[in-house]
Amino acid sequence: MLKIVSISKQFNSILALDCISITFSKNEIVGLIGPNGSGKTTLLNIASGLLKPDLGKVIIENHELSSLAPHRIAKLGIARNFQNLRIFKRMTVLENVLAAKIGNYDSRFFNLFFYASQVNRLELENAESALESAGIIDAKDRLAKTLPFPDLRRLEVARILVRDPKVVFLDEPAGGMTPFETEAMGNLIMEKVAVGRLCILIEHKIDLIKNICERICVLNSGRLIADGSPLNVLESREVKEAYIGMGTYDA
Amino acid sequence: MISLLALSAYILLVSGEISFGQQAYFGIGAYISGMVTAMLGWPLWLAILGGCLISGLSALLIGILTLRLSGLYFSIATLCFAEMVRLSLFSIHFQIDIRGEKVGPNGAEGFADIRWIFENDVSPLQFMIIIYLFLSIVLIFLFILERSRTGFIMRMIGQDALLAATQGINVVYFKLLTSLYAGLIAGLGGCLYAHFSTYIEPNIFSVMLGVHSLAYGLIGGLGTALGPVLGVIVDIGFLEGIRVLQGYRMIFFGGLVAIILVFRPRGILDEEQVYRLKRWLQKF
Repeated sequence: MLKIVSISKQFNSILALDCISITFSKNEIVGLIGPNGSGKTTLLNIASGLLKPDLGKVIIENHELSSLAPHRIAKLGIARNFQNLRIFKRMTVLENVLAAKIGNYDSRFFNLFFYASQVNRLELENAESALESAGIIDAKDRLAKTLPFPDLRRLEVARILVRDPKVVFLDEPAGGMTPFETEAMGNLIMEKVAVGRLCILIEHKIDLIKNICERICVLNSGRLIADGSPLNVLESREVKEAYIGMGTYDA
Repeated sequence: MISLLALSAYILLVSGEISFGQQAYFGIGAYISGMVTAMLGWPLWLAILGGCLISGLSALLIGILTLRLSGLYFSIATLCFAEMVRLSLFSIHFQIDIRGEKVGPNGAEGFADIRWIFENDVSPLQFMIIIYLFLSIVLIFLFILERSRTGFIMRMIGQDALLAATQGINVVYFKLLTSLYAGLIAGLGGCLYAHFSTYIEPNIFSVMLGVHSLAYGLIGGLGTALGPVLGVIVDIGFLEGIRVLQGYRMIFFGGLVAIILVFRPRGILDEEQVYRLKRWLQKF
């Protein structure tokens, strides 16, 4: 369903991605891991259109993504979160979720001007049920910037849910969370996000990856060094070597 | 009229850009509409239409040119454009004879005798009513805009353009739309100004005019279109109220601006204040 074909990307003299090819199929939860600076986020940014690859292409259901603008890619049903949290801080939680959906509507001038932003009952119900799934419905009328950190991560998930995408990229959805919160996030991803969707997950917390992923891809200095089931991948010699100097990999 | 310029700066501030060049569209609107009524002898509404249209189009053009810029670079580019407009107005000498008199823009001498209000027997009071009528139309337009999806999208882009793009928003389109609206509103202000004062010269449209209009938006608040209007009221009220201090009053004015920007960086009626007001209103 999603094909990454020999993608290369260079930043100045650093080769961030070196001819990466991966094919993902529908309904997979894939963990993308690797040491810091191995190119995981770069790959994700290319797939969601924020960066253009130097070589290669990304293909989803016969559409080539690498030549499209980010908003067109989003309209094809690809949703993502951000490693360092991007939230509309001066809007309420509910408005943040409504904002995620607004790009999906017909954007002709008159429609945009004469429809008030929140009148539609259905939209409101969709947004509220997404917040309910993410477990932050109680905070819906608060300003987003007053929310505690783990709830902001949940808000990002709610924003993905409301768009009902085909492909979900999660970049460290449990970054900065306690083990307890991490587990709750893992359950949320398993039960709500990954249902019937392709879900690609970048994470440093190997426990989380082991618990929810059926397949793991490992990047190291811009190269794909392993791809397969968690058990095989995590035991392979090459992966262990890549992590030497960072302690054991399930730390 | 300054309120209109402040509103023009405001909608760009909402969409996240600080423009130091809105006075250019104000000036373009003033000159074009002045030429239409004084030189061609056409009615005022055609002049306003023409003035707004040309300012709007030039705003759109500058919008296209500055698309890739943001932050300080955007501000400098708009400032440069405004200065280009002001300086080229100095070198425009384009006068025609009407009943033995020379009429039209005359470089540094300015553009005098835009006498539409005398020729049509409109008293200053009546013209003030026309101005307030236009101001209320623009305000109503902005209120509808704020409640609409377009307004919502403008706020999204202002807070995080990249995030808006990953959620399916065509950022380029909406940025250009914002520039166009801002140009139209500033142009309207210029048209009204030219006919109110009957005399315009290039130096009226200097950087200070733009800075004031930005200051009104920033003092009044970025949470609602009432913000810039409040900013104008606070500023003019304050400036006139301390006239006893004569030359020193601008120093106090500067201090006021600094204090407000330290304590309320997004103005008196910022998004949080508007949010609180809305919740308070919901109780009734």
